[in-house]
Amino acid sequence: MTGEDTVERASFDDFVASRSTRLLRTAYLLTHDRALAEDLVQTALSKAWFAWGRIEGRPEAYVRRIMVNTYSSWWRRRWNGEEATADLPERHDCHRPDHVRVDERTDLWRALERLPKRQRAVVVLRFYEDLSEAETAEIMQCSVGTVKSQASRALAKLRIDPSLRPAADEESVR
Amino acid sequence: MNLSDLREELTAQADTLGTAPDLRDGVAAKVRQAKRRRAATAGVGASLAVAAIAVGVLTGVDRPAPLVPAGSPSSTGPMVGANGMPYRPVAAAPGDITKDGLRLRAHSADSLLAGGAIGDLGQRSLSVGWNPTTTKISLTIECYVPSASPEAAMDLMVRASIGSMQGYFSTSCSPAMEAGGDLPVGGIEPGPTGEGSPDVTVGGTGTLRVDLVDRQNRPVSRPDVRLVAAVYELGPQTEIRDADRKVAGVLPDTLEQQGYTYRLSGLMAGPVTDIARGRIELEAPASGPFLVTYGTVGIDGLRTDPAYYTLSGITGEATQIQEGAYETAPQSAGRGQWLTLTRGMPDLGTEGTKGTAFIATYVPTR
Repeated sequence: MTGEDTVERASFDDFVASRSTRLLRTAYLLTHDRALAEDLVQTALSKAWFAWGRIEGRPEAYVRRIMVNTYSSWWRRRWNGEEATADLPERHDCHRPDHVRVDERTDLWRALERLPKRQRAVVVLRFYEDLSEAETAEIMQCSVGTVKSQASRALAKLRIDPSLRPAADEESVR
Repeated sequence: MNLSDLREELTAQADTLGTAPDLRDGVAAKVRQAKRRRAATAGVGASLAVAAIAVGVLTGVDRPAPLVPAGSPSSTGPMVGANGMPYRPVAAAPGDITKDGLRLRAHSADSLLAGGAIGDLGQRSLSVGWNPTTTKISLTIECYVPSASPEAAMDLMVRASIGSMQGYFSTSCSPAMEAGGDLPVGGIEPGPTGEGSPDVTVGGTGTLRVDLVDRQNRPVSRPDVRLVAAVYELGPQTEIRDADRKVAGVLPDTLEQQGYTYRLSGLMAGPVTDIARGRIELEAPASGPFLVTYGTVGIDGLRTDPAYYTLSGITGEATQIQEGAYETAPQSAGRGQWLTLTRGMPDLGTEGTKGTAFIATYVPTR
């Protein structure tokens, strides 16, 4: 073990300690589940750990890219040789009072939950992380045009989502 | 909706999390798992090489997880059962019903004891009342006759009734008590799949009555009989829908295994007519113990030569299950592999067969 190794590992530990909250919040907005979010962050950080000494530029962007791509590949299914993105299993509410938390979610939160993964990721990166279209494209490893189209479709879906009707304020979002 | 609403909603939801817990142990565990996989691929030399680089807080990466043999509850470390899964005794909880060394647990995973009774020796009927908050229930109905031979015990039945539905169903008695005294948590779920019992009214009063009878449905008495009756209200469930979007089956969102609770983490399902031409696949967790539930539901009629389905990707040999059934297999360590359900022999075709095949995974909760 060299001195350089030690510095790198120490810097990784510092990074985990200082950025976990931020990363976890982004992961939660992606997964809508705290336990899954923690698992997603840990998975992304563990992948980054192996490349820590070779990361060029901002490590947070690198980790966020791993996180988004790992999230996109979760729940992936292969069906008769085809690959597609599967949604989280459907859940239905229980009559029990301790599950009213489900009902406490806002309509917008529910609508976000119904977005396809890539669209949800674009929404989170653009409108929570406040990343530019170019930065979002870099993280999602796609073109700026794809980011634009995914964002446009996502916002359109949110506006027309049945749970958001009646929409008195049909103002332009872009 | 406008963009300000969206931004505010995202921020508000993210803020509900508060400060992140210390994730370093979890990261270390995943790094350790990845290194094991890499070492297994690259050989012993590579294993020794990667073992030398861990420093700082991640020195824990190479420290083997503490294991103690099953049956050492005094140890402070996590215990591992004979099946390689985490194990811990279930401590007494408020609401448990106990008598003569037997225990009806107040809850297990998300199933909650709504009402229950352990009869006295020789008591030939029991009645349990509860206030239903859901129609989805699971019943524990047990009958023990320790002095009877297995054959004689089988001739004794317990007839159960819910509300006004007399003689709803029966179950035979057993000469053997539950090991350790913990009684099963439910087991009989009355009513159509996913709909709950039609004989239970939420907000009303529920009554479960059990009577000891013989095979001709005549009341009988035995001095050594022990009856148990309990109603558990089920927690959230996830539906498995068929090709027509109808509910073919339901899975509990949480399961308990050896004192630990596992939550549903993945589900993949498809028509059996499709699986006959291909397969269903679901990715296992990247690390840690997990449960895999697999099989078929909603099979339209039973055939004299039923098909079998094979699950591969699990530890040990691939396992088979008959159509129309499903089961849960504990797995001590996921590695992100594909779990695959295929249709095995005999392949009799699926023309006219309705049904849905599925694989589901459960991972431990905190």
